[in-house]
Amino acid sequence: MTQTGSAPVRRLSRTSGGAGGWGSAQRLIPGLGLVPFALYVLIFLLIPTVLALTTGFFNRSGAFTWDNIAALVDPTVLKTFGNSLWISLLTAALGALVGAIVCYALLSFSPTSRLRASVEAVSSVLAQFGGVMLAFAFIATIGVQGLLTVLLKDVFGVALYPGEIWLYQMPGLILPYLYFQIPLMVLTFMPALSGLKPAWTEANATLGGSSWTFWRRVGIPVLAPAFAGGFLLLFANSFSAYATAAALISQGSQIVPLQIRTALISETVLGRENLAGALALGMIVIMIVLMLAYSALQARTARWQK
Amino acid sequence: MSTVKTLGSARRVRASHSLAPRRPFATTVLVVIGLLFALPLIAMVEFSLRTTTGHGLEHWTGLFDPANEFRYRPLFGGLVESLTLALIAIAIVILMLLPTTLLVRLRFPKLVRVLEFITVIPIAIPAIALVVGLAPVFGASIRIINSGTVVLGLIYGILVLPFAARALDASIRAVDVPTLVEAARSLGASWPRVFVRILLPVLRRGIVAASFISIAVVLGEYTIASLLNRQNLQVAIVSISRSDPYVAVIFSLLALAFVTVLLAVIGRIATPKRKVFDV
Amino acid sequence: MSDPTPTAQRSGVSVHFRAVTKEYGAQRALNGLDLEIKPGEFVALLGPSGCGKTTALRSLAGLESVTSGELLIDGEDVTRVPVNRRDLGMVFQSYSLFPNLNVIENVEFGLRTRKVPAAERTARAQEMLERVGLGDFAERYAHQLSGGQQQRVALARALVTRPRVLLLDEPLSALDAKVRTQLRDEIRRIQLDLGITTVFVTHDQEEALAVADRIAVMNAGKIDQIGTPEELYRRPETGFVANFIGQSTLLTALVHEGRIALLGREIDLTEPLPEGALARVRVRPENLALESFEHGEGEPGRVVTSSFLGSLRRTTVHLDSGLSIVVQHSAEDTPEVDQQVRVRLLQDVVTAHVD
Repeated sequence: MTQTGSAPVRRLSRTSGGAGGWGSAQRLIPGLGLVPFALYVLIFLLIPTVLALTTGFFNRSGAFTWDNIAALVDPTVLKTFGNSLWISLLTAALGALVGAIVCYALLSFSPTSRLRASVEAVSSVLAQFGGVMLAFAFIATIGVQGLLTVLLKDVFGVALYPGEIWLYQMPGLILPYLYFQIPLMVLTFMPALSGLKPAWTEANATLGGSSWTFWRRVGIPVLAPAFAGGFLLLFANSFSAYATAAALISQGSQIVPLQIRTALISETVLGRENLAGALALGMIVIMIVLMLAYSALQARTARWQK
Repeated sequence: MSTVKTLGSARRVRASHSLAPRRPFATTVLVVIGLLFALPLIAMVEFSLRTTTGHGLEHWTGLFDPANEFRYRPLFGGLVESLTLALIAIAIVILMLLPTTLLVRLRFPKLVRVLEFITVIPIAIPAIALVVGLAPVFGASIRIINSGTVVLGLIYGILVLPFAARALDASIRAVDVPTLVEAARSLGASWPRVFVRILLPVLRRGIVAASFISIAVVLGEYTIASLLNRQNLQVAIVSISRSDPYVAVIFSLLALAFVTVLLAVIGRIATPKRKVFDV
Repeated sequence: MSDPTPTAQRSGVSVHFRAVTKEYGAQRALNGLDLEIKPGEFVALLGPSGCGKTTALRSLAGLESVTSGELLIDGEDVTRVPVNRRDLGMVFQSYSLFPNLNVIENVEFGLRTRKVPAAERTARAQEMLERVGLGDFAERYAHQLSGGQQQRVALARALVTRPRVLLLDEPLSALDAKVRTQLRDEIRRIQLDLGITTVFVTHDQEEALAVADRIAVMNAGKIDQIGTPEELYRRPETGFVANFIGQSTLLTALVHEGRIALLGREIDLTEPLPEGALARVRVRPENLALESFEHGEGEPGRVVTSSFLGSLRRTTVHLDSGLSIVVQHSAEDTPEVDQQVRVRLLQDVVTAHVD
């Protein structure tokens, strides 16, 4: 009785063992297919990332040191981080606000209208339009000989630069940055805004609510996560931007990316050898904080979102 | 209580439940912001047309004047370098990213999230921070590969990952790849045959979109090239801008126009054809 | 206008559409619509899509402005009153619960805009939730509810303010069949309880027949016929109504001496038609009988299809005269396809039209 009973069980287990062996062999060959990409990503992404995070802890001769990390609290470095955060905050806030207003204005036109399609297409180009080319666009516009500078002086008698030429200083970054921030916000925020259902506003109205009631109690709360998400994206975007600043500002290192440039080019900055590593670490830490903030935001709103 | 209704009252009835702002407000906002955004572009064109005496095409024609060949050589050299880098990045996308994405989708669904995570890293880590870690890797690799262009191209392959992966992913999701592959395999097609004859044609749009976005990203890249001392298009534009700002602006305009065309094509092929109603 | 008195349930009020016209550019969605709804009445606006029924409801709600004509609620001209001051309750076809508010907050929404004190607000909202059977769902969010539950909450939200009129814009059409019938009957029960005047837009004749006191069949921006479900079913005044309500087959016959010949019988007309006119008669499946070919009476034909509907069967017969006709009969008779049968008319009197 027991023997006959156990026989099928044993046979079953043997079969499954055999299938498992065959299965792992079957997985092994396709698994090899993953190797080239894995190696490539390891060498050109993961190792550089790890190096960027850790070089700050070593000196040129490879010995461990806290020296570079300690430099992160050096007043000069703190000031550049402050500058970077300030300019990111400002351009993200303005970009998010103006971008949201553009999206709101677009609501007045049908989603299938040519106007909306072209604004979205133009936004996707301009959101990519960072870097060096953007710097030249603004030099041509509000540089010393720029079109707007000349027009303002000749036609209205207004001097754009009564004192120093701020385009090549930190404040000069604000307008160029907004030039890619606003389109990026339009791209990020428009889907959320078009997601507001007409039935919600109609329900609000039939329940006695005014336009303001709708925005205060439904519209703004529903859009807030998308708006905040867009803001964080814009913030990260400004914070990590380098090329525009590099092309505009050739003197000094007012923001972190420019300070990394200086640290990479010159032998020593603030008497330290691997300051670039410490600065990169600082930047990455801030980016991670931004992303954690973003996912915390998502989690908070998850209670009423699918 | 009069039965005569004015337009004003009819509009008030609408306003309390319509999401959209009034048309005049919307139009004003869009026109003002549109003009502000057009201004730098107009200024670039105007700047490129400036001559010592007024306006003209001098700087544009001068670009192709053999007399200036020596002066502009670095610029065209940078252009060729950037196009080569773009080709290498596209090769990586098609030969490495695409097969890996398909393999993961078909055979290792558990790794989908891992792949997604990896392809997002280049966005999360600013290029200027990554370059700190890339510098030693570049130095080491160049000793093995012996071509700065190829190594930089490999690095650019990483930079375009987030964009290319998203474009490929969209087209892979649009068709039922597992079923297609099973069907082809059950008819006796070999794996290479499935890849070349079935998957490449089906995923054509995604591959084109991924390639174009890669070109757009590579043509605009300055950070890594400049800090690794490689002469690509953007680096060349910056160095020539010190002696000839007009040519720098002309090249910026041309690059922008080219990227616009690339992105427009992506937009055209990415969105499925739908009816367009004009309002 | 809004009346937050928490005391007795208000009884229904009357609603009048007076020559209401609505134009979208060159298109006329409503073409001089006249409709009088009595206090407490449940009226269904029934018709195919594009007949203007939804426009009529939305005009009454104030969500569409009308081109000309008047809308009266309780005798008061509301044509120019903005939607948020018309004091109506509305349930929409698409789920319209506010996603950021939970169920009870959704229901309280209209009480908040009417500045009802918090304690009373919650009590009334909870009571209305009990009424729609969702007393235990107060803390849920819309995405945690089924479609039917969402529409129940929407109903509670619309009713909790004790509006003058309840407007239902195809509230059941997104639901599946079983939930649909259930909610339909529940809406009717609650409506009768509250005595609230209700306008119900639907394209589903079965739904309208089941719940409405009166049905207004709409066609091209106007009412073709209005009446009780029985009146519309038994005495459709136009071909459109007859076609839209219930299943029927259109037959034509010559008028001769005040009678017509149908399916081999001479039949009287409810109203006389001119001699020699070509009368059109709609015959319903239940007014026909299937007879044996050899022994029965009526017109001969062959069975095309026959479908089992539980207690009865519906059989389509292709008559030898070239017409197809649907006959309803007991499920015990099971005609076979291609079998020769006869179709007999059970009525002695029919209503005919001349076009």
